[in-house]
Amino acid sequence: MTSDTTNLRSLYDAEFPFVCRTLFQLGVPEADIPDAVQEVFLVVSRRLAEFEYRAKLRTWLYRICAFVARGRRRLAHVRRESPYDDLDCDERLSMEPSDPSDLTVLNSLLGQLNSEQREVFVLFEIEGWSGPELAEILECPLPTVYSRLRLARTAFFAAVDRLKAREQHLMRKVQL
Amino acid sequence: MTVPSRLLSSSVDEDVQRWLKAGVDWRPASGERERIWQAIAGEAGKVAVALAVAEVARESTQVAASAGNAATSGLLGAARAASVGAGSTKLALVVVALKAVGVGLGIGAGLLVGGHAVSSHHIERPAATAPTPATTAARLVEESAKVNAQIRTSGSAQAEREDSVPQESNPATIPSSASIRVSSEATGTSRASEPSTTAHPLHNPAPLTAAEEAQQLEQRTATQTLLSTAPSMHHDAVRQESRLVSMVRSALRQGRAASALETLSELDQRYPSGQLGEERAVLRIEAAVLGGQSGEASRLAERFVERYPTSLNLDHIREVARVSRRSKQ
Repeated sequence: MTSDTTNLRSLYDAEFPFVCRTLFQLGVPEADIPDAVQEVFLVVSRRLAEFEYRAKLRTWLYRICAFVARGRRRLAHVRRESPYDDLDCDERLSMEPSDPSDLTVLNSLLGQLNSEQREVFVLFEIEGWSGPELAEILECPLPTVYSRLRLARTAFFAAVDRLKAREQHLMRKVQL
Repeated sequence: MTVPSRLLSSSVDEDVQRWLKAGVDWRPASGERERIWQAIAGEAGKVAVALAVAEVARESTQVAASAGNAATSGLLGAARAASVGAGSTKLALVVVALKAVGVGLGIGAGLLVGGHAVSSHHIERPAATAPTPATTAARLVEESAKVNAQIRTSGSAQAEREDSVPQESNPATIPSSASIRVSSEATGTSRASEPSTTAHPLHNPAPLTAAEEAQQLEQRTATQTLLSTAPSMHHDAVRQESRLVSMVRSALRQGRAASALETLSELDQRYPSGQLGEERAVLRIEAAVLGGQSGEASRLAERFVERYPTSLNLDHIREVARVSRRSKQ
């Protein structure tokens, strides 16, 4: 095993969870995560020799993840249709409320944010990055970061409200 | 500006906290890690080999043409020797003819195959795998000695049978009379009036054949060595080029324009058509600006725009050129 491969393996072992989580939270479907992770680390393998640690490693990795996630979102074949798309509104509402996992709910809520909002929300609220770190990674001023975060939270809670309203409506229909 | 606190550490809705926590705790399925790594390791290897093969193929295009010509010459030579041997019933001539055919075909095939990988400017032959000049020469001398011995043995035996003249001393000094007799008997025509050096393949073939064979064997050996080691050497070359480019960047960051330009010159010498040409062009412009060579920087920037019209660095280059022009004014 060459030293490059060894370096890549160490990096892979250390950052695999971060890369998976980031891709997932940036909207890559769970089924596509392995392919996307592979794509990210292939980019890393090609660029690792040029990486000079001027930026933080995770910042660099995040940018690659964001690039890969954007690319995958653009791919037509990964735009899967929901099995509920063919049902009209009443049919959907008449279905038994399923018990989706918390992760599915979170993903659904994040899906209602635009990409800029989703990015800043995920990094701040879930990954725990600070404002200045976000300013560096997103290459924008700190006030812009906080502004985006505020808008992202507003959009997120609006999505939460819609979800809860829908649940209540479904519960009422089931009780009737 | 107030710094917001994370929702997870504030008193938000319990459901929201649970959903967010699910995001924080999410992990890929167990077993995925190793499976994905296998795929990455395989793909990374393929990419490296594909890059190396593409580069070697590109850079050997010019050599392939000349190798093809050489192969044709080799085959023609073999055919000529074979035609001489075909008319002869003598063992010596047949041996020589077969040897010539073998050498011709071998060299022709070797050079044709080698045409795809014959040396590029920056592929260096590693000492561990490539034969050293001394060992190559020793082997070639040995091979040519064997050829000479075979020719001498067959030639002298034939001559002994024909006219009992011993020929052990030196195949190159076989009496022309014997050669002429053998030749004329074989072809049924008298060649007594022809110069002995051209009349008979046994007369002076050994040194010529050995010399040709030595040269051709050396070419074939070099070709085979390159074929077997080109991808890894190419990978090393790319890595080395990348290291030098990093050195240039470091020098520029530290304001050492002369050092950067020196390293860039070294890169040009060692890897004139390397993988990081665009990156090097950008760095050269930056080095020219840093070194106060505004005119040179503008000229390089213009050339860059022509050469890389779709480059992502175009805006950067234009900005550098603008700054350079302003500082000149």
